This record gives sequence, structure tokens and C-alpha cells, in this order.
Amino acid sequence: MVFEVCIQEQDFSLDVEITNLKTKSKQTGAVVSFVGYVRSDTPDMLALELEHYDGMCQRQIIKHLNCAKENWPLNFARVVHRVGRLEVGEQIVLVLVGSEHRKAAFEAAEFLMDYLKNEAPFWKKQINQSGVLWIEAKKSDRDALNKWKNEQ
Amino acid sequence: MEIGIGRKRYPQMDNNLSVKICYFASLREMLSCSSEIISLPSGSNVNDVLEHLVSKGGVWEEQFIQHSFITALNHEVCDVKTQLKNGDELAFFPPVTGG
Repeated sequence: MVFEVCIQEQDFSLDVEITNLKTKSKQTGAVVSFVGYVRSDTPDMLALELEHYDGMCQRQIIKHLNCAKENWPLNFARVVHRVGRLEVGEQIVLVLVGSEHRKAAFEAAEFLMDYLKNEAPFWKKQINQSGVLWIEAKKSDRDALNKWKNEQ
Repeated sequence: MEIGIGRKRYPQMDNNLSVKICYFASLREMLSCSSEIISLPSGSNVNDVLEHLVSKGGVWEEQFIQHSFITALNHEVCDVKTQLKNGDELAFFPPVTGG
């Protein structure tokens, strides 16, 4: 069973990632993937600059992958998170979860994304033609994560 | 940069510990500092470091008084009462925005 995280500057391929994990797990009947992209929030937005806390990021994401493994019957889970400058339209993050059946894979993928949004030490700086600004945390994301904490 | 803190409050203490302090994202930019090593008396906690940072005044006081931030000790989120040990890595950063 593969439960791993990769923080990288380079892009990733969803097809390659799924194929790599599927070949290691013949019992997997359901794979749920989430891919996050750089969205243009303003007409003059050019890119995002992603910063992370190296070491803490990997440690905390692994901890939450293990938490997902304990709460759902998963065969694999992998997180790929990009850092550095990412232009509008580029891929930022991949969450890939495999299970025998779909319900566990859907729920675990959502849990992992809610965690990444709220507690993994990444920060986004929005780069516009007119200047830069740090993106602030959203209450709606916090509420989404609290839902899981209240259920545990 | 190495600085001593709390020595006036603890004049008898000669058993100091050394802690690496890291700053990230908007906080790092506002402070113009990504990391520093500080020396402080044994028995110090996170709040002692915070008091020292605020006492530097100016942008330091403004950032730690007026903005919310998170503290992490050795890659684990911690609170201000957490005790420090020699060689610890203490990080301060704003609320995260990954994913």
C-alpha cells in the first residue's frame, strides 16, 4: 500500500500517477482524483507564487494520510503539491485515493483536500499586473475541515 | 544573527539554550527575516520568545500584536506555553492557504 506525499516545482500527469498506483493495487475498484488549478480571480492576475515550510509540510501531510488510512478502507493515497511560481491555468495539487469501493475513496479525498486547504503549511501569493498580494485563509475552508473533526 | 534575550530578567542564569526561529510568507516579508538563531535562558517557553519579538518594537510589535499567526515547534503546531529545548526549531507563520 502506498501512502505518500511529494512536494515539487515540476508539473505532474494525472494519467501517469493513476497508472503507477493502479498497477501496484489489483484490489482497487475505485480511484478518486482531485486536481486543483490556478484560477484567475481578477482580470489582471498572472500567476500564483506558492511557498511552503519544508519538512513540516511532508510530516503533516503524511500524518493526515495515515489518519485517512485509519478512517477509511483505502488501498493507496498520494498527494502531489506544487510550489514556486505557477501561471494561471496550471495544476497546483493532486489528491489521489484508491479503495475497493467508491464511497471510501470519495470521502477520504475530500477529507485530505479539506486538510490541505486549512492546515498544511503552504501559502499563496497572487501576482497581478498591478502588484502582488498574499491570499488570506477563508472561513468556508475552515468550516469544511471542522465538519470532519466534529464527526471523529 | 545571534541575539540574547531575557538576560536582564534572569541575571543568574548561565545555562542558555539556542533556538532557531523561522518566519514564513507575509510575516517573513514584513519582518525582512526568514530565520535567526536566538539564545535564551533554559526554562523559556514560546511566550518568552514572543515577548522578546514584540519588545523589538516597530514592525515586529505590529506584526505579532495586530495579526493572527500560528506557532510550530519542530514541525508540530504548538501553543505559547510550550517549553523550549536546546536545538529546537520554532516557526511563526500566518494562517495557511494551500490546496
